[in-house]
Amino acid sequence: MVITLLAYCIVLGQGQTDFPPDGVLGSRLEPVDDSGLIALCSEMERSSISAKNFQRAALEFHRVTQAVFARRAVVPFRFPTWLSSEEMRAHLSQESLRYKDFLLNHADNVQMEVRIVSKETAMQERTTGGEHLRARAAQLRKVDNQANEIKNLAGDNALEWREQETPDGVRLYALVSRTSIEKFREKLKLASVPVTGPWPATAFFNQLREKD
Amino acid sequence: MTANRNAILTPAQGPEQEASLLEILDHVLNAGIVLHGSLVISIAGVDLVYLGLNAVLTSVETAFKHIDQKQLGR
Repeated sequence: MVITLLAYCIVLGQGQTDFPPDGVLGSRLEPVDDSGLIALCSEMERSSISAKNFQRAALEFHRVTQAVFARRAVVPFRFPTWLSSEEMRAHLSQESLRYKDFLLNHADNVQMEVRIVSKETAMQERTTGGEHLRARAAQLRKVDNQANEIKNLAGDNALEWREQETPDGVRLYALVSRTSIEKFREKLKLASVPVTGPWPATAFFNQLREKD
Repeated sequence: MTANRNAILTPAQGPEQEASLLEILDHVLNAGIVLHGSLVISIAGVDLVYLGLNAVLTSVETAFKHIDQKQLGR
């Protein structure tokens, strides 16, 4: 039987510590603190999460992270991430500057996401390579134009944008102040596109790496 | 933070339930720190294809159902 820590998220070690008491599958939530950071973890057997309860465990993991994120910035772990307490402390110590920088800079920011999907079904009917490329270029222009419209609609409610191409369009990540979430949603209603969030601002985390 | 913002991230009831569930699973599985031992490999930036995620989860669950049925049949 191997007991390890299931890692949820990292927060600054200062401020409120009223974390939810329970983690996934009835486990206790335990803070591991090092270098001014707190990593929220549950001591669990790896084998306790299986294909049968994976979806339930993933949703419970999300609820824990979300409950913490509702009050403060977090650096979430992907589910499931398993570490020993020594590995976790070593990680916090090694990455403390990077994480503190992110958590302090984005204490009041969240990430909103907009998915733009091109409904260009005629792509499949193209028979030649040239036709396909022209259709693809037209599709990309359409998606690009829609992305620009959305950015204009959001205006200064979005502090910054990131984009990620998807096979059928693009995902837009907006960095939004916690106080502007409702305004952001309201503005984007006009665009009739699916908007999700608020999420932790993970799409903006790599900025820290660029500073290295 | 308002109560409304939490509601967005809770799987919705009704026809939108599956989409919301997949959004959440996509984030839980794709957005966050990835550790291998103590080495950070990457964070965010990997877009899981929704159909793919669904297929993987379904196939694993289906596989277990088949295993259970075989065991029950013995």
